[in-house]
Amino acid sequence: MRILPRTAESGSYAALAGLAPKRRPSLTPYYFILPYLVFFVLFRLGPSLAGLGIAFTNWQAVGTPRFVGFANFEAMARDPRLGDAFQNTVFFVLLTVPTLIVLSLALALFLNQPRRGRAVGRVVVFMPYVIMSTVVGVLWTWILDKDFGLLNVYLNFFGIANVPWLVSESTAMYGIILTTVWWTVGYDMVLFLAGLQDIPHELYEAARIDGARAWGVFRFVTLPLLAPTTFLVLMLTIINSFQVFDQVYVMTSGGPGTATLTLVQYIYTTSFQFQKFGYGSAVALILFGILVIVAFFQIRGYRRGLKGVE
Amino acid sequence: MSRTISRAAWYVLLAVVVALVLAPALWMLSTSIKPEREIITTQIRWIPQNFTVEHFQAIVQNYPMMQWLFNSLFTATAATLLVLVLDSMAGYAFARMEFRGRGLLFMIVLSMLFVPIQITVVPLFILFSRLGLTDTYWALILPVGANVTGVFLMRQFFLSIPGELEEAARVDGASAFRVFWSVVLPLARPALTAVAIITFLSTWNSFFWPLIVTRSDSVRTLPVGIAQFLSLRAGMVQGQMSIGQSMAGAVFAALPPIIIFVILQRYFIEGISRTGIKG
Amino acid sequence: MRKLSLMLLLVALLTGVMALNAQDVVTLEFWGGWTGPDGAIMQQLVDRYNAEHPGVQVNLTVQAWSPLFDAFIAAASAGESPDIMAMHPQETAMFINLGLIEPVDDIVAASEVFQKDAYVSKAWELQFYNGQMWALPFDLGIHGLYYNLDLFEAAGIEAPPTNAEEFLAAARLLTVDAAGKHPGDEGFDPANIVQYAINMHTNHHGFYQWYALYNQLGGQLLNEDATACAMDIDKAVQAWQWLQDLVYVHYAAPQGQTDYARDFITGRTAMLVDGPWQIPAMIAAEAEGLRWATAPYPTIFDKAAVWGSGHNFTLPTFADPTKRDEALAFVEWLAANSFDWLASGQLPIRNDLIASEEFKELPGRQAFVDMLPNQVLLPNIPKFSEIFASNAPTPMMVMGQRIILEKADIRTEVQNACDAITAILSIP
Repeated sequence: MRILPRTAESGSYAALAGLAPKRRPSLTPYYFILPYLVFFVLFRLGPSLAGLGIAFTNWQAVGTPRFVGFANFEAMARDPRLGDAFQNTVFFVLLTVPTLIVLSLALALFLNQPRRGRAVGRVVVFMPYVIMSTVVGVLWTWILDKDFGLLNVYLNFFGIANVPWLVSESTAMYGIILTTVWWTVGYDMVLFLAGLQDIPHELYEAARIDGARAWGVFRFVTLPLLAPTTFLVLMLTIINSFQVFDQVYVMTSGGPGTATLTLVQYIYTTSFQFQKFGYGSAVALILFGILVIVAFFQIRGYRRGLKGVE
Repeated sequence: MSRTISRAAWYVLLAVVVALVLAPALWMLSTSIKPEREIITTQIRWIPQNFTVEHFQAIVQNYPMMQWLFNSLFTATAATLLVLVLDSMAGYAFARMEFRGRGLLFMIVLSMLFVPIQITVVPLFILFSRLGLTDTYWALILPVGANVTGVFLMRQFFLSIPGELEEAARVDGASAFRVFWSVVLPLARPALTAVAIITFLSTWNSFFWPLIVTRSDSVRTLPVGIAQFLSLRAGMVQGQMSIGQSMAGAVFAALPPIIIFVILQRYFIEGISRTGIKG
Repeated sequence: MRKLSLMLLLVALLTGVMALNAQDVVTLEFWGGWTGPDGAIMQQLVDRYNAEHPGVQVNLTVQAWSPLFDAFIAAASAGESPDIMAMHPQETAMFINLGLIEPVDDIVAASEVFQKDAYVSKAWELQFYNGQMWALPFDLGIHGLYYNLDLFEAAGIEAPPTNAEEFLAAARLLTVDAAGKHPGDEGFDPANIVQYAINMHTNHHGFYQWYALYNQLGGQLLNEDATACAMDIDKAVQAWQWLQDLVYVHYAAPQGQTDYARDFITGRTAMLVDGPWQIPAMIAAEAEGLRWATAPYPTIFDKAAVWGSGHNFTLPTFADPTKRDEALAFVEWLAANSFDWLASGQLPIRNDLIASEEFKELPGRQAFVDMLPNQVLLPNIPKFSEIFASNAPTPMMVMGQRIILEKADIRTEVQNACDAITAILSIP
């Protein structure tokens, strides 16, 4: 499987720069793309634009929306909850993304070795990802239970006193992060594994003949050649982490207090529970803007990095 | 890298990784086959003293589990097939064909990953209501066709395959569709498998949209159905929920995708090195 | 060609038959949030109704309340809705304000079942908002005190506590550490408590209890026209102090508790404050040897008050008006047959039912019913969920969790909550 570009040149860089082999223009491309576009416009772009457009209205899900200009955005300045949600989300992203990337890369390298049992390892590590979010939430709420949870019982073995996990403001987010890492690390690992298959074996051999140690091989062969994959995994992980919702919704609904309130949880809460769809959409628009900026800098950084390699 | 870890260390490390990842899932399984009396004790006991299937019996008797299972299987499969057709074609066009507005269009498609579904659900519902398709399989299947990740992954794959084969076929006079169908798609089987698995899983596990758009048990999917008796904190259920039944429902819902994944995983990961394409 | 026309004919016939059937049977969409064992009881009632009424097919859709309301609102955005929507009395103003439910005054005036005199007056009054009646009452649920008879006997306590003094005395005797010592004894070890006197809610029931205690002190939450917080800060602090001290001063309740019913059933706590919906679980636990009884929620401060809520039925605006008679007939039947519903533990509100011999034989209910006149409900206001929602960081949830879980400074939290409530209410 080559869901990831084999080399930097043919891969994302060219793609992002909009380069492709030259060919005479014809209608054929449109025949290929039209079926998807119909679905995309009807069921994704349309509803998304409509949803984001609500940001400039006071819509409450019923009745005709009334245009209110930037009132929803002005109201954000007076909303302490939004600040909490923003802070918590950034905290979650800063902790979860590096953990996921490092751990999934380590697991991919580990399970890429031609040894017995690696298939079992791969299946097991990916398996949590196939479990639905509601089930993951219920399972981990129970595992993280302060007094009877599996985790604390085993921590007690090591002399660690009961951690309050989801019932304390200072630890609840770590509980959510732990759950997230367990649930999604396999997905990132599989993407890394796919990328690793594209690195020619001869390169490793060459490096070893040159006397490179394991770390050197990793640093100067694996890591640079894996850059397009890392870029993709990083991008998807950041996008997903900024939009963390399911775990929070099921396990804490933002509490205790506001400790695990994240942006998307807040968008859901203001829209559906408080019926302030206009305000919820305005927050979503801000989140959209944040992600566009993050993606922009990531792509730019990636291009710079490529130039450095060349 | 491959020879830096000794054989014994490999097995120890592998065992540790497997045990750590598997423990929560095994705990779920273990709980689902314990009588409630053993569940609420404070002792950790992995193997139940008294094995029971009462929780599974209870949920199958009290809820239309089989109907929900069928609905989930049917809609996830149909949606996956739809995505494979749409996304392979679109991904191919984005990767290998030149047309006006391609870069911009692709950016627009990708940017939809940044819009949380919580915002699009209500407009989407209004659309399906106008179409008269709420509470139908259509409402569960069609929106998946607009999925973005599949297009993205297919495009990345097609970017990496060599152009010579296509050129050769074209010189022989084959049409673009013929080239796509008989030259490109066979090469894409691993990528199609990956997209299929990812799409199947995300459709299978999807909760919020099915919750909003379905109401009858003849259409409802497993995640929405079992949410009725999972002891969800967000649902703020009053009254005692059975942890045993929660976990039985969890195992019931997790088994089909796990089985499918175990069968397909060879193609999913191992298949990578056996495709023989050199990009 | 002939084959095709034959097929078409068949299809036409089939649709015709189906259409005829559809005309004969009126289907009613009925939504409710009974996700516990009570859902099964409601389904049995619906099945019975469908069997007895061949012309009507009621489809019960069950989902937890919060996602159920999400679906209700999304449906309304497209002008769809169920024919009967169950909810709680304190939530109606929110849906009235959105224009999602219709007044029922006319219907009630013509109904033989829904008559004011037939109901507990409190239950009837709760269905009114701005002088109009908006919902049809079904049941009530209030907090009560469950207690473990064996643990009470072992501690030598003869009767459940009714006031603060009795409560603290009992709490001391019922809290036991690993060495068998009680709080206040020499060498008592708070880190090794094996049995607590009572549970302490770390979820929304925490502030429900506070609301009852605050009402026991005669406190008022909002001003008359519900435009600002009108909390008496001292009284609010006093009420919270009682709850917080149970955990951190008297060690009578576990810190950071999550599963209250389980802890009571397993004997980890000797008492449990919770609603009557736990009764079926208690009856089931008798098989495991639990001996239990119920008592009214104690009057800790000046006068009796207990948190309560209940279920009622509303008729949504976007429902098919031609089905309204059938919908009403179904709800009337439910009300008339509500004895079966009592198996769920919820409290009856029809006077004849409360007075009936068969009700008096049901275990555990009487202590709850006796307290019904003292029930206090959260204010039924359009912005209910912005202030009181249980699964969102609302002012009440934040205040409660910070005080009970974090041992936060009570006065600061109360003041913050009051300011936040006023800020929410001041936005039109």
